[in-house]
Amino acid sequence: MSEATSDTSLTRAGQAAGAGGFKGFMRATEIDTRMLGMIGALLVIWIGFHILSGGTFLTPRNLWNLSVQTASVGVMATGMVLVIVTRNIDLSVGSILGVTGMIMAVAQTQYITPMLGFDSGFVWIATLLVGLLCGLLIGGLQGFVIAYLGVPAFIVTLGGLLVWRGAAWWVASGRTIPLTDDNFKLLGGGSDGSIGATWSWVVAAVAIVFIVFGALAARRQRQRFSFAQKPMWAEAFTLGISLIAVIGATMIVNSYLLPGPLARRYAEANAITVPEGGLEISFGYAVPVLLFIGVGIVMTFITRRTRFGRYVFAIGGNPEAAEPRRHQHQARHPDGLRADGHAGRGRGGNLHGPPVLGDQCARHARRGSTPSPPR
Amino acid sequence: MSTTMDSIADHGRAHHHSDVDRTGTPLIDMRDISIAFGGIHAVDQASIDLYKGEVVALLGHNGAGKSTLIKILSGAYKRDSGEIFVRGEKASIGNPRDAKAYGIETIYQTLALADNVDAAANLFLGREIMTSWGTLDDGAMEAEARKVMGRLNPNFRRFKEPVKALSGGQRQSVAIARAILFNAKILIMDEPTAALGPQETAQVADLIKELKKEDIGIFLISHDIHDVFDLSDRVVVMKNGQVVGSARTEDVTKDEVLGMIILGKCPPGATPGPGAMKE
Ligand SMILES: Nc1ncnc2c1ncn2[C@@H]1O[C@H](COP(=O)(O)OP(=O)(O)O)[C@@H](O)[C@H]1O
Ligand SMILES: [Mg+2]
Repeated sequence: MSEATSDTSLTRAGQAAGAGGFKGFMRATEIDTRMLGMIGALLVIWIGFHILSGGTFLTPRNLWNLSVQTASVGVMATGMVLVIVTRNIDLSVGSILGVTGMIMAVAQTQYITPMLGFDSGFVWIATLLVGLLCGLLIGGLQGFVIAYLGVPAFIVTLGGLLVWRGAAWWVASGRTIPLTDDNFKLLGGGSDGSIGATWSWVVAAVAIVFIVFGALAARRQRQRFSFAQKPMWAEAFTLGISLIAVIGATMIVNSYLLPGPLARRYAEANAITVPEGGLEISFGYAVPVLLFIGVGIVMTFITRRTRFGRYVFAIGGNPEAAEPRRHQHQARHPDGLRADGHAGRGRGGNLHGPPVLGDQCARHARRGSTPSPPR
Repeated sequence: MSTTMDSIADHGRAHHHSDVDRTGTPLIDMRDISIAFGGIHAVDQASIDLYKGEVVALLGHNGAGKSTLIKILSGAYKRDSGEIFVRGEKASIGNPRDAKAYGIETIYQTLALADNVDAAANLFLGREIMTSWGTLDDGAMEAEARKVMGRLNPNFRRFKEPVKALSGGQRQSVAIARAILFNAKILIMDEPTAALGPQETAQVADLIKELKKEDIGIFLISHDIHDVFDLSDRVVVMKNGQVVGSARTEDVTKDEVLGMIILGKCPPGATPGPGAMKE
């Protein structure tokens, strides 16, 4: 049986630490090949751009800027994961980003700041809450139409793309709205919205502690159920790579220094005397990047460790079950439950087709002709 | 399946001896079941029973009413008349959930699994093992999954992959393991190998033998008469919604069973039903 042989060869490769070749290596380290492919593609792009741009791409400054620009997209991507695994699409994210951003800006400048006072420390929180609420309402509305009214996500969010883009324009009347709250501005990065070298190293240290702790927890978990352990060299390899990545990223963001005028202003503000060779003040990690990492961790937890996340993935793999109206629990037995949903539609009603077909069959049956049901 | 009818030349009787104890109350006893769809008597006064550890094969042409009969048992259809007894007690099965409560599980041809998640997640879908933190305990679920799968399909190793990466036979064993974890005592398998290749079909045959050992009763609908003779303890043949007859597999030949399927002719070794050809 070819199947059996391939199965056993799998285990052998997985268990024997020294199993030769690239495949054995990948199995032992449990690195996702698809992820490796994506990292490879990213490297090709980076190095390509670096060469084409004459050496300006892979610089601390550019990478730091990219990290800030990626943060907001990354936050949206964590949500998009859930949409896509359920075999849906959201074309309207950009427009929703636009309209919620505009609503937040208008709310802050025209309502929240006048209400709480110019120097209130709560302005940024209130603004964020307004934004979250708006996103929730808009997403909830679109989600309702998709899930309960059965309109395809493509159509709904295509409409959303246009509607919310228009709404963004309408809310702001096309003006630029300058924000006033300094705390809120930190969320956008920039020299103020970065945490500097020392705190960046603190972040790195915390990350390293978590990574090591995670690896230990995984080993303990495997021991608890006496599963095959990852070989020690593989454990060391993956740990080493992760630590190098964390330390490398921290070194990069720390080697992006505040440009002269900004550094001087910073020195004045903090009453630092400028030494001989000029000031060397690092940007460090930008606040939005840290927020993105936080959101990423929370979303990973939700998708991996909670029932909700598990069901989102399960439903995504079983389209029959993806119709939430009648069939909430039938990722398991769509067949039986589908019959459940249509029971009582009358004899001759097609117990297996979609509702529309069922209705048609029932009408046919009433007229006396029984359509032959698909089996 | 292509092997259905081209086995007329094969006169071999079943080799194995069935050691099923049929003296007590049957697990399932369906009596005089009828259902009509707009004038078509899909199932007409059919009676069929099943003992524990027994495989009863349901045979018949397409449209004979096999699927409809077992869908009544699994709660997908509501019978017009007739009675169902589970372990001697009259059962009211009005929907699939009722059937499950009686330990009746169906393995669908379409292998209803959640493709994006792994075997353990499929086995426990809807009743996940949680840690004391209220999070999914994947380790515990995988450990349980390894136990069950170890019994059913010892070669199975691909616990970490989403089930869409599995072969048809492996998916079949995941679906069955799931039913068993749900404490299924009666399994309904409607053409379980129709979508599978020869090797995978052999794997499912092994699975069925394992399940028999665990005292699970199985209704097996199959078009493959070799499989049927290899696996079943009894055969029941249906034609035009009626039972032609039933027989212990060792008491009839493949030719005789084909005669029952095609002509509705009941051989001497079989007990005739209402659908048997009148001499
Ligand atoms: N939902 C239904 N509506 C109308 N007729 C049906 C339905 N299901 C089955 N039938 C009819 O009942 C008969 C038996 O079908 P079925 O039980 O699927 O046969 P088998 O599984 O033995 O091939 C066929 O004539 C079929 O057309
Ligand atoms: Mg059928």
